[in-house]
Amino acid sequence: MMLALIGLLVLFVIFILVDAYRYKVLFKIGVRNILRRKGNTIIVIMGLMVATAIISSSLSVGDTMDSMVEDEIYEEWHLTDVIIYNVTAEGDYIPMPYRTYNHMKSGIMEIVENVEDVCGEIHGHLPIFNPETALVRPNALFIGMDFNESDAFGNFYVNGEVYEPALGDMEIFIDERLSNELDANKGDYLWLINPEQGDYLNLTVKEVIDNSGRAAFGGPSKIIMNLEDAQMALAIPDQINFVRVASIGDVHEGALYSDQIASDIDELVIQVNPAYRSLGVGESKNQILETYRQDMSLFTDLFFIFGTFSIVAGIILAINIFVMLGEERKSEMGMARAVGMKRISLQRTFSYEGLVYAIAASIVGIFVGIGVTYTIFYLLEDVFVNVGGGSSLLDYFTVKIESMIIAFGAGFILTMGTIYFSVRRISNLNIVRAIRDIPEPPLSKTSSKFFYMALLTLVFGGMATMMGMRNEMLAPALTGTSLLIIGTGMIFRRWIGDRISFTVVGVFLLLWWLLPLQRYGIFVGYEGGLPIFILSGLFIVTAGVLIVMLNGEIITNLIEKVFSSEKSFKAVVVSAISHPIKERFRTGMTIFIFALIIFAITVMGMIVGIFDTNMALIIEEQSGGYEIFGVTMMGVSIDNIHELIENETATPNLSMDYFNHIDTAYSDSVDIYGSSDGSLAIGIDENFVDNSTFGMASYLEEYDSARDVWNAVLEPNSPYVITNAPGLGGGGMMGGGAASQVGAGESVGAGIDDELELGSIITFINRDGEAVEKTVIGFMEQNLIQGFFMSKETAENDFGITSTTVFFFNVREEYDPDDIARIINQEFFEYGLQTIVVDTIIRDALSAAFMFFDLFQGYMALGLVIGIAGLGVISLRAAHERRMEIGIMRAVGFERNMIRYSFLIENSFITIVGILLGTVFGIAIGWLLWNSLFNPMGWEFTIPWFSIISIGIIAYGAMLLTAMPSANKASKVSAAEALRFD
Amino acid sequence: MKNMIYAEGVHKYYDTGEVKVHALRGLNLSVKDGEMVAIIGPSGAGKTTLMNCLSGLDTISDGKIWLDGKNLVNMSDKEKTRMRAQKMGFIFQFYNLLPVLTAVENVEVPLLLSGKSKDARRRAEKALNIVGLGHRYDHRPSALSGGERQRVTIARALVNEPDIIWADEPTGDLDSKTSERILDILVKLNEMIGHTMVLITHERDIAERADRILYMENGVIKKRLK
Repeated sequence: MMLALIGLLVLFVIFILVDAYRYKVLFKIGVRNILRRKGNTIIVIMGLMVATAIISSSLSVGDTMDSMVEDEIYEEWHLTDVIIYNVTAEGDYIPMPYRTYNHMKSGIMEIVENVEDVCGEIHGHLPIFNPETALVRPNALFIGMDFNESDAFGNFYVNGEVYEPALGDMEIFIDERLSNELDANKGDYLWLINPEQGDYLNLTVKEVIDNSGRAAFGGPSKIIMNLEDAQMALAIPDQINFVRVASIGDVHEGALYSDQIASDIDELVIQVNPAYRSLGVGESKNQILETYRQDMSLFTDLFFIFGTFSIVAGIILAINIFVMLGEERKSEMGMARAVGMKRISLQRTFSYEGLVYAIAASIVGIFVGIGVTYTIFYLLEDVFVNVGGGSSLLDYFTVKIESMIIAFGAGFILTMGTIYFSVRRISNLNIVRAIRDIPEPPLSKTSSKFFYMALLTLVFGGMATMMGMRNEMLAPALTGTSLLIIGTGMIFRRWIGDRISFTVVGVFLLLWWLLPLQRYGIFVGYEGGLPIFILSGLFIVTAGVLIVMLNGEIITNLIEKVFSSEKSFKAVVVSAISHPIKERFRTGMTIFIFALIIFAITVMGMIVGIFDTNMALIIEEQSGGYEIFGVTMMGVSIDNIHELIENETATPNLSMDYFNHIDTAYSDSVDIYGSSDGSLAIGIDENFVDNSTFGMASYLEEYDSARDVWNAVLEPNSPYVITNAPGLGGGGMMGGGAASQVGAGESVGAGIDDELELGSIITFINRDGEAVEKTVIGFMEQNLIQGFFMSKETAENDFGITSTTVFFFNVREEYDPDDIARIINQEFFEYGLQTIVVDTIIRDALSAAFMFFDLFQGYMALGLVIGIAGLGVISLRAAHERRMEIGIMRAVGFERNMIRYSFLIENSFITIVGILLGTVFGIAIGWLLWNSLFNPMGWEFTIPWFSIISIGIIAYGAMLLTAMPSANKASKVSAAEALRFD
Repeated sequence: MKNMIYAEGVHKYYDTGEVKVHALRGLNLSVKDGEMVAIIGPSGAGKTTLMNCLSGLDTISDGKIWLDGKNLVNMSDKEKTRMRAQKMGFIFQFYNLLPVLTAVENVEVPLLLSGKSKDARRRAEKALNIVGLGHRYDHRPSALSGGERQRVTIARALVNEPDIIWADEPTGDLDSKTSERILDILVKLNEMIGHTMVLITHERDIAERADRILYMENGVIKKRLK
């Protein structure tokens, strides 16, 4: 693929160069034009490189993310290439006798190729407590291993030095992270608690080891211990529950063998022996790498999608620049045509010139894109270090040569495409008008070429609409219908002229994109996604620009009226505004760039603003009025938490005074018919319903209120359950999201996240293997605790669940929930009680999201730079083009300052119209998003005026700075000289 | 002597969208091979339009035009372009030289475009020598005076040894002394080489250098002045 791309590019360049050799003089003209105005050349290259830069930046984001996950996976897995284990529905590893494991190991070593060694281990999660500091880690990973079994899995390290592991009875290694968390060091005692057994092991820290080499597996914060001690901790003597396999070759080579080894072990060893079938091949190193690479590609896609606006802006700028180059060279091109240069020769000249620009721009673009990515990662440091808990992204900064080639290729093709479009337009000149530098007449109403284009637009529009409707996809459906609107306008101009037809087109496009279509039953349920955001921007902004540009006279008249008393200023303003209105194509394109970018930034700002304003509401929704959620280890029940808290001996640092109330719930895993994953049943009681404020995203119509829904669930032998709203899966502290867990694609049909709806009947399998059917009558707004909510009575009677494992703490206002959560963890460590502080977790998550949004906004702001640069180009060109006119203005009494103001007003007009269009449309789309996504949840609508106005002021200020040189240049034109100007 | 240019009943309308202009109103004209004809008339008479239509730079709305016995009206854009490259030379008021090329390269362009690249450079230099710019080969237009630029244009018009030379206000942008020199060159060349020349001007004294002077007004040839 890569070679094919390189080959195609090389062939293309060779083809053009061979062609250039045949037409040396045209090539000479083209190349010399590049050197003609160096300033222009720089601007052209800067404009053309944007597309490449965005592509290069997106790809280098992907490369760096890949590199980060690859490095972390290689580091964590080290020489382990395949893991074999299985877990129960509760998440416990299924053990197997050591003897059976030994047989299996022999089988693997004998049959499976490329295996270097196999080792059996115990893996588990238990609370670990430091009695000295009273610090606890409720769910610490511990790994028990036989240090003598194999050294094929790498070394242990202490402070970077190889360390020879040897542990006595009840001795352990801990890694640095756990050492810090528990404030435990070499020689300290730690208690590893088994809440189910009600027992603990008193362990001595022999060494604080590095989280690297063989000890890296499973991530940081772990305990390494003797196999026998680990077996004792889980009360499974002479058994192992986790098998690691190392392949031949080093850390990286191992990944290459890992898939083959995993599949051979599964097919040739595990499946042929019933004794091994309780185990399964967990993952191979390569499989993990691929999964993470796919996850990380989301970043590449997001940056690319948000960069699309800047790419479009760059393309428009490039077209604008080329059109101006064409205008600048109009008379000489006319002359060339007169003396026998064919139209194709003109195209050739520009194409040769364009080829050099495209190559230069693509090369520059690659490096600018890489620079942009580096800057973004530099700014992202905080997000990852503070929120993600990861290491510095810059350490992983990578750009693959393949990515550079793809960026170059894609950028080059886009650039050449843009150049080709522009060149076709330029070369289509009328020789006589070109020679005499006479402006082109307006397009004839009866132009047959335009009529055919209109028909073509209608055909494309119809096809896209049908495709969209057939596949229920919003992007082609809306694009197609928009093209139908445009095509109709193009046809009607024949009879009613440009102004009326395209103004009507603009109005219809705006209505089409800005009206909440779904409310009118149009395209209901169609698949949308991010492309709609981009398309809406393109069509809405096009519509706005059409309306403004075709009704420019109204603006001029309005301004004339406003300044009617200030005669001299009126003259300046009117002459300033009339230019951009006259130059419709050029002005329209520039306004389009400004409006498009401001639109995208505004929409993004609106989303951030809405989230920010509704932060308290989000926290309220997620918390249900509780500050802390607590969950014990699976199956470990705290039946009497209120009593324990009131008992000073049991929990000396806790008191009920800290709380308004504490509510509890039963919970345990349940199987669902047709699903291999299972889910959680959560049994609640009347106290929970009375005290909590958890809202419902939706519920069956037959209920009047959320309270009625809860009451229905609380009824004796209730056949009803409540669960989390579909699409809210993931990110919870427990459960896996009912919606995403229920037999996806099985008992209740494919894509349960979409299929699960109010009234869905879920078939659970209880512990006696009986089917229990429950109907979903409500979807909760919260998604931190995921599962099926039912009454405690139902949980007990239908599922045999009586363990109180979920706790909801309502903390009194005067206490800090973070402090209280820490005390709860310490006091209930023996239950493995883990807590989260709702406010903290949501604020952290949202602030990370906000930072990403800010960065995306910054990414899109690149387009703003393009817009401002574009305006600078036009302004400079205008100063040059209008020397004669400026001379006349000076001759008839315009002062220098008036000329300067005239230029600045002209640029201000373009910028302000662009900013206003972008802002208004951005707010409108923001409102639509709010109306369809957030309003149903009761969220408040807000417009972040401060950020919107700030962006507008920055854009306007930057424009003034860019336009000032040309305004000064124009004001300094000498009247006498200008009137002699050729 | 055969007719090099023959036009009969030529009409040309311009439709600007707002107004329709009838620029040529059934004009008839014939120019003999090797003849130098000057067309004079007031501004807006249609002189330049006539030249553009006769040379194939612009299309006509009605009528017939033959150039060297070939029907121009039936020719495609490609054929007209080829004809211009091979059989015509143009001299315009504002020179219209390619600013990125040197004087000799500008002169060379028509030869290269018509595929006569073999001794293009030598012929271009010769043409420049004829107009007295032997010392300015490698200068770009920006480094030349107005008169020099116009002489480069003349050299460019001549280099292809065209049958017809069209000169539209060739001295319009020059002072009287330089104008005189340019006209001397044009007349001398006409005498030397014998190509047909159509000179568009609004100045009678310049037109006097031609074999024949035609007066044009309101889109038609009104009378012969010489």
